[in-house]
Amino acid sequence: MPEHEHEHDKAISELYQQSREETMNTRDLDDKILAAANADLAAERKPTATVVKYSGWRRWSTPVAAAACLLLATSVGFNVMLYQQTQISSEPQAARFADLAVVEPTPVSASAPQVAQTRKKEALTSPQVAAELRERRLSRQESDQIFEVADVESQLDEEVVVTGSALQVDSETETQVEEIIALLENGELKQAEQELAMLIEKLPQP
Amino acid sequence: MDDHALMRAWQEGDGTAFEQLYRHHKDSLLRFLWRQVGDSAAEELFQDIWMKVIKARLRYRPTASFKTWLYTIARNRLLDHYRSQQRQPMMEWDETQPLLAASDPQGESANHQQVQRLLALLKTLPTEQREVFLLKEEAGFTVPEIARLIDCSLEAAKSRLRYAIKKLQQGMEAYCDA
Repeated sequence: MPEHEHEHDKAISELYQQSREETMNTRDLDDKILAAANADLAAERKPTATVVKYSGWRRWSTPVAAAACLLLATSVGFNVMLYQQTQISSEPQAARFADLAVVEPTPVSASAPQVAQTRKKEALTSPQVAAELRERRLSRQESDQIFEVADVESQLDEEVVVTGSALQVDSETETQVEEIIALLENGELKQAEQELAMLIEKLPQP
Repeated sequence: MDDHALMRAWQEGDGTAFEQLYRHHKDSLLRFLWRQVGDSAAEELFQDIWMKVIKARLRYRPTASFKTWLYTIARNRLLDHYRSQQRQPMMEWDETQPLLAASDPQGESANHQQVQRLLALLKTLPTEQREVFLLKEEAGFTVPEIARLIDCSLEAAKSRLRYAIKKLQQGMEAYCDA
């Protein structure tokens, strides 16, 4: 750029800068815009509280907790029965009865319903029980007690048959609950909702 | 604090940071609009632009300076305004236009008259040239920054600025000769 052109540019620029010295009354505009900015910030603070209140986890914590409690209750109920069964089996009479009743040990790999079915059948219908009792000349009272125990155990076995299938459902339920929690942590609320609905449908009715 | 720090503070909820940003840029922006669309439309656009800035606060990313971001919003709003008006915003060069119609030679200093003459000449520039001139003189952008902002080549931006200055010079010379 030639020297004189550059000087002209400077002259124009300087002249324009003088025009910028004029003052402008923008008080009304300033008030409006600053008020709008403050209102925007204030409005943002309010929804923040609402978002926290209705955040994903809080929204789903109640149904998940309910499902978890139900699951826990089912599991605990089953364990109590197992515990009772163990207690009864450990008593001397029951142990004796078990010696008489169980001809062959049930394989460990057999499922709970199968075990229950086998033991029930063998305990109540095996002629060996009566034969053994006669052989040992047990008193009438003692034999009544033995049959009482046998009845208790058969009842328990029936419950094992029922809850054995429930146990299978529970392990699935547990997996589902874990999946739901994982979905919630990932923020996939819609899918978590569907999974939870399916889970609640599957849970055993009281 | 610089614009970037102020913007970040405002994003975090500091209202005073916005006030500082606003006070730093408002006069230049308003004059930039005034010189292009006149007083009443400029105030309306000015308000709209700041409302857009307020709404877009959380979307702002410091990939460019706050000033570039602000003037990009302003320029887009200005283009919308031209479209809504459905008229060619540029006023063609008119030798017969009474450039000093608004001035009062007897009551004003020679310097003030020259300034008024320059502003009157500015109105007669084609929009593209006037825009580049104002982005440089009013907003303080460099030519490469202007080229990026208005999305044209560096040469095109230089050319527009050169033509704008040339026309302003010719007009001022004509005034001085008279």
